[in-house]
Amino acid sequence: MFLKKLKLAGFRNYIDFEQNFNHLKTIIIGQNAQGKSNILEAINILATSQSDRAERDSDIVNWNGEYALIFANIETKDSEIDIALQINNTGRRKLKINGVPKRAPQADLLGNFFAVMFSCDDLFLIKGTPSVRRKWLDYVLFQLDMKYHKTLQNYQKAVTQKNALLKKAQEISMSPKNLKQELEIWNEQIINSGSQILLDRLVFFKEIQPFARDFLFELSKETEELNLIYESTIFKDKNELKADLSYIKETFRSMLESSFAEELSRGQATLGPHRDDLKFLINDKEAKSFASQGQQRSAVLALKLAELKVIEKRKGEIPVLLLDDVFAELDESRQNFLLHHLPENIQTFLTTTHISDIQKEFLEGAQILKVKNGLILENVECKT
Amino acid sequence: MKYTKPLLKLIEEFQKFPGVGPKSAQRMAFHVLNQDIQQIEEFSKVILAAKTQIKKCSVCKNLSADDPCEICSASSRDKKIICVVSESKALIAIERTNEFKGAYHVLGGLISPIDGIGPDNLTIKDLLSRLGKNEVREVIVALDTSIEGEATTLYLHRLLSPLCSKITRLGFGLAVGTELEYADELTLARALENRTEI
Repeated sequence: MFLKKLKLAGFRNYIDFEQNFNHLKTIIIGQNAQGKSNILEAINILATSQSDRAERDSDIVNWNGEYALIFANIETKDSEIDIALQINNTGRRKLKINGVPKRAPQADLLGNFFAVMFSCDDLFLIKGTPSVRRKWLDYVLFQLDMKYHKTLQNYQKAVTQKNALLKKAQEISMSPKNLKQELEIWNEQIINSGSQILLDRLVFFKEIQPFARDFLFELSKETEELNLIYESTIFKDKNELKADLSYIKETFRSMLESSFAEELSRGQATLGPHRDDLKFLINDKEAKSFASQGQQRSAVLALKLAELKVIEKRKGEIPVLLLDDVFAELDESRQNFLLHHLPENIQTFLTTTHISDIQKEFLEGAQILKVKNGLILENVECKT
Repeated sequence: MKYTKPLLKLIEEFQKFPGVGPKSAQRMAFHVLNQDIQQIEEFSKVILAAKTQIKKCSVCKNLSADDPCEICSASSRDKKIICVVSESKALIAIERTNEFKGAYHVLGGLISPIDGIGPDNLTIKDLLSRLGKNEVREVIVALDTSIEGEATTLYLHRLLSPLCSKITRLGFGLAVGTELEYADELTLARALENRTEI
């Protein structure tokens, strides 16, 4: 997969940006807050349909304009795709693929272009809140499975409705029979879509686990063994967690029945994939509490390389790699490891404030863009 | 330049209509000013008449000037089949197909706790008493496929099952005239699930 051309208009600080890419590596250099990451953000939106940073769509739109435009020309294994995405500051989107307008701009964008983003924020994957880890899982799955996005949306809507009902039940007295009857209709949908989400996550987990483990084992010179554990709110005992849809549904249903009183007293849906978490174990110790800074960096690096492998395996295309300001966080041996474990023809975009943070080997033959305040100052090929 | 007060008021009123933005509202207001006074008087009478004469049918809760409504009082309609819809708009859509010869029941919305709409805010009780009074052979639940439509369908199914032996819902599937490859995954998966024998 190769991004040949990117045009941005009204996208954050890029009023009018157009760039062709014809090198495997593109290095974007600039001071802080000049718009380096914005380019990567735009590329990542093409893959996940979501921004990794913006709270809402309107944050992406330049404050002088009404909408942001992302236009991309992408070369895949056997064809070319033109994507034109318009994001209005009202939150509405328009999407054209190969000139054909699409009806569902969020969902129809997915599955056309694949990317793996590795930014400083990913270093919080291990020590951050559970929502950071769920977001990572969801964003990868958006790319892997086009149904996942819609299923998750339905699930979240049903949870929101259920929460509203539980709140109402706390405020006014409802007969338990009526409340149960009304809860059931939301629970039924929560069970259906939630079980599918759990299953999709588990299947992905099984796929990524061995890759991540192998990468970390090698990176740590065979001293660190990584174990990823999916912590489900439905299956308290992880050994009972099986990738079987009807079994998951059955368990979800009986768990919801037995925690009716608890959910009611909390006024919230407390069970389901929206509350699940991941656990990282390094040599059987919980990384969240015990891992050093260095170990965390290694583990996240291994995870990102594994993510790349899973996308490549499932989609038959090598995703584009986006490295946002992470080289300053990776020492020479980790940089080397990354460099030598990437697929040969992978297209990489990398941002940095100092070119000296990056090893010579990586710079070879790279296209270098100097960015200042949303403008390209210089575009050269690096010769070392 | 500011609008003179009555004009501003008129524009604001038009803007309250669904789908009408400031530009359209302005165009409509100027159109009103350009018409003869008789035309406008006639127009305001029509609005008032519509509002005062149209009531809800006491049987099916559809909007109607007569009570019971045209459909409920027509002898040609099979009252033993009731099609449940959320709004009168949906009823009209089904009527346009000319395929349905039964009676209707208009719920007046969908269950949605976020919007403060529970089963008691809908005409479900009236539907229950209709089923209790008459021998109804089939209830067709024809609601949106949204989360709220799905929840309401489920609720009705549970509630009505003891009262009616046949409860059906609209089929899921491909839109007529669409190309298969352009259908989204969820629709296609549903269509496959609900496939029919040829």
